[in-house]
Amino acid sequence: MNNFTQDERTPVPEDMPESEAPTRKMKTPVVLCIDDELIGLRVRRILLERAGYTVLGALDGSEGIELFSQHPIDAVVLDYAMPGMNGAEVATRLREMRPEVPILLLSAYLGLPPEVTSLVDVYMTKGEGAPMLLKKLRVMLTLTRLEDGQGRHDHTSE
Amino acid sequence: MNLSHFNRIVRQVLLFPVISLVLVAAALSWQIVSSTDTVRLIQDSDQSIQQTNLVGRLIVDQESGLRGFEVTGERSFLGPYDQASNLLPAAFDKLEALKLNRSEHQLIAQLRSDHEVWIESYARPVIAMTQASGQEAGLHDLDLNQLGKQHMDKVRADLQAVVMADEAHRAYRVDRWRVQVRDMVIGLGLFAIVTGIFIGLFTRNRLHVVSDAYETWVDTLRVKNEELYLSGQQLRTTLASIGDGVITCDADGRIRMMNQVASDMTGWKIDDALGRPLDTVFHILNGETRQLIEDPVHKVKRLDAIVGLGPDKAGNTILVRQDGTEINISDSGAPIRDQDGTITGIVLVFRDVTVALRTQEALIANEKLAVAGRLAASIAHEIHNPLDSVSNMLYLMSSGSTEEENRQFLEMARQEIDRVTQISRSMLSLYRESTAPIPINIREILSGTLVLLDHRVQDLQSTVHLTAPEDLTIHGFPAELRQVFTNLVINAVEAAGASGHVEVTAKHVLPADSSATERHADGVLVEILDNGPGISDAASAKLFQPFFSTKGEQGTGLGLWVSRGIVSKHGGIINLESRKDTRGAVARVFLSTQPVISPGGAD
Repeated sequence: MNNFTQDERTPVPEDMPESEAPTRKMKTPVVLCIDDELIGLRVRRILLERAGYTVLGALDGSEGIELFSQHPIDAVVLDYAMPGMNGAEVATRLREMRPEVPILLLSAYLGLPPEVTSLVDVYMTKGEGAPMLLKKLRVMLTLTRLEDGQGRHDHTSE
Repeated sequence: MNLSHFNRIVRQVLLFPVISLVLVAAALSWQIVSSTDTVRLIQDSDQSIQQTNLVGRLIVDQESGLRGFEVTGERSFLGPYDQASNLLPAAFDKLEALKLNRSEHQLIAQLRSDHEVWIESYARPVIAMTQASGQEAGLHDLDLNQLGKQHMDKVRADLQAVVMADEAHRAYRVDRWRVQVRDMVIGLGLFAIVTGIFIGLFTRNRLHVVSDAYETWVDTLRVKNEELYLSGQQLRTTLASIGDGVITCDADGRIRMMNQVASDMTGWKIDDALGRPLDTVFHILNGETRQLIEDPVHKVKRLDAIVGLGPDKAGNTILVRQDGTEINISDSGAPIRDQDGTITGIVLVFRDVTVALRTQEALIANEKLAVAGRLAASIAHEIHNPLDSVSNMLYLMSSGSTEEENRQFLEMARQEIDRVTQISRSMLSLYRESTAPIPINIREILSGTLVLLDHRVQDLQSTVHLTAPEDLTIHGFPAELRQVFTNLVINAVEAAGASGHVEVTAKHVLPADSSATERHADGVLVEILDNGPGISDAASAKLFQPFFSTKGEQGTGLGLWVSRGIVSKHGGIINLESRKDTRGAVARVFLSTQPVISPGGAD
C-alpha cells in the first residue's frame, strides 16, 4: 500500500492538456487525494494529472494527514466514507493544521448533513462526473488564489 | 347452634316435665299413704267406740240379769249376767288392745277396775245372798244396794268418759285427716301451678334459643345464598365478557358450560354443546401433521397440571369448527379441583390467533424488508463508488489515452463491474429464497454479508474481522441466514461504536464441545463478538421478545425475534450475552450440519 501511494505521489509531468496551459505558467498546483477505494483513487489521480495537477494519493485519513503535514499542498480532494477516520474528521484535522488550504469533499452519499458539508469549501457527489470535478476544483483553486492575492496585497499595503 | 346443642335442648324440654310429674306422683302417693293411715286411725276410733258400747251393753246386761235374779231369785234370770260375765273379759281385752291414746287406756283401765269393784263388792255378794236367802234377800240390804248403785254409777260414768274420749279422739283424727287432704290439695295445686309456670317459662326459653338459632341460620343461609348468587353472577358476567373462548367440562369430559365466544369460535350453539363430550365440540388438530391432538381433558388429567394444548408452540393448533372451516387457536387447559385436590373438571381457554398469525407473518416479511432498507444507503454507496470509477475511466478514454492506458482502464473497469455484480447479487440473495434447504458455505455467506455492511461499518468508525475456514458447509435457507448474520453484525457494530472492533468467527463443533448442542450430531458455531458496553441484565431477559429495542426510534425491535425464529426453523440455537472475559457482548449461533428443518419454527 505504501508502495502504491509512493507510486501515486510520483508526479507525471508530460501529457498536460493545452487547456490547462495558463495554470502551468505558474507553479503546478499540488492536490492531495484521499480515498480508500484503490481503483477509484488511481483513476482520479490519472484524471487530475492529465488536468495538469501534481497529485499525492492516500488510502486512508491518517496517511493523508501525514502527507499533508509533509508537503506543500494546494488543495485536497477528500472521500467521506472511509475506515478509521471519516472525511469529516480528516477535514477537521487538516483545517487545524492549515486552514487556508481548500478542501473538496467527494462522497458517494447524497445529502450529507450541514455540519459535515460546512467543514469544507466544496461538497460534491461522485455521480456528478469527471468534468464537474475538474471544474469545481479549478474554481476552488482560483477563488483561493484570489483570496490569497487579496490577502497578500492587503498585507503588503499595510 | 349445632345439632348436639339442639338435641340437648330437646332432652331438657322433655326431661323437665317428666321429672316434675314424677315428683307430683311421689308427693301424691305419700299423701295418699299418710291419709290412709289417718283413715285407719279413724276406723280404730270407731272400733273403740263400738267396743266401748259393747262393753257398756254387756255391763247393762249384767246389771239387768242381776236385778232380775235379785228380785225373783229365779236362777234363769241370772243367764244374761253369766253370759255377759263370760264375754266381758274378752271384750275388755279387745278394747284395751285397740290403738288408743294413754288417757283412753287409763279411762278403760279405770272402767275395768271400777267394774271389777262392782262385781266384787256388789254383784257377787247379791248373788250369794240371793242363793242363800232366796227371793229378794238382797233387796233388804239397803247399804249393799246403796254401795252397788254407787259403783254402778261410777262404772256408767267411766263408760261415758271412755266413749267421750273416743269420740273426741275420733273427731281430732277426722280433723287431722281433713287438714291433711286440704293441705295435699293445696300443695298439689301450688306445685302444679309452679311447675306449670316453670315448665312454660323453661320451654319458652329453650324454644327461643332454638328459634333464635333457626333465625340466625336462616339469615346466614339467605346471606350465603345472596353471596352465592352474586358470585355466580360475577362469574357468569366475567365468562360472558371475556374475549377468549371458555369451556368447562366435568371429569368425564362432558361440557358443562361454555361462553358465547367459545360458541362463536366452535360454531356450536351453547344449548347443543352442553352435555356433549368435549372432543365432539372442540375438535383440534396439530397444524403441521394434521393429526388429532390428545383430548385436553385426558392431557390435563394425565399431567395433572395446567397445560398448553398445542403440540409445543402457539399457533400450531387448528380448531375444526362445526361447519368444517378451520381457525388457528392458542389454547390452554387447567384442572378444577375439589377440597381434597381431586380433579373434578377441566377449564379450557382458547383464542383465535388466525389474524395474529397472519400479522406475525407480515411482521417477519416486513422485518426482512426493513433489514434491506437499513442497508439501502450502504448498498447505494457501494454501487456508487465503482460506478464513479468506471465513469471517470470512460471520460479518460474518450478524452484520448494510449492503448496501454486503455487496456488498464478496461481491466480496472471490469474489476469494478465485478464488484457491483457481487453487491447486487448479495442484495438479491437477501430477498430471493430457495424453496428447499440448499448447501451453504458458511465463509461465503458471512463474507457476503460483511460486503454489504462494509460501509455501514465504516460509517460507524469500527472494524470487522472475519475468521472462518473455507470448508464449513451446512444445509439451510441462505437468505434467511444472511438476514440473521446481518442483524447480529449490525447490532455488534452499533454496540461497539466509534473505533470499536467486531470479531466474527465460525468453527466446526462436535456435540461434546457444548452442552447446548448435545442434541445435534455436529454443526457450525458462529460467534460475533464486540467490545461495546455488553448487555444489561434488564435487557437480557427481553432480547428476543418482539418490539423490544434498545435503539429507540432507529430499531424495529424485531431483528432478534425474527433471527431466533429463523435459527429455530433451522433447528439451531441462538443466544446473546455479555462477554465474561472482557468488555462487550457475544452472539452465538449454532447451526446443525444436517438440520431437521421445521417450517413453522418462527414463534
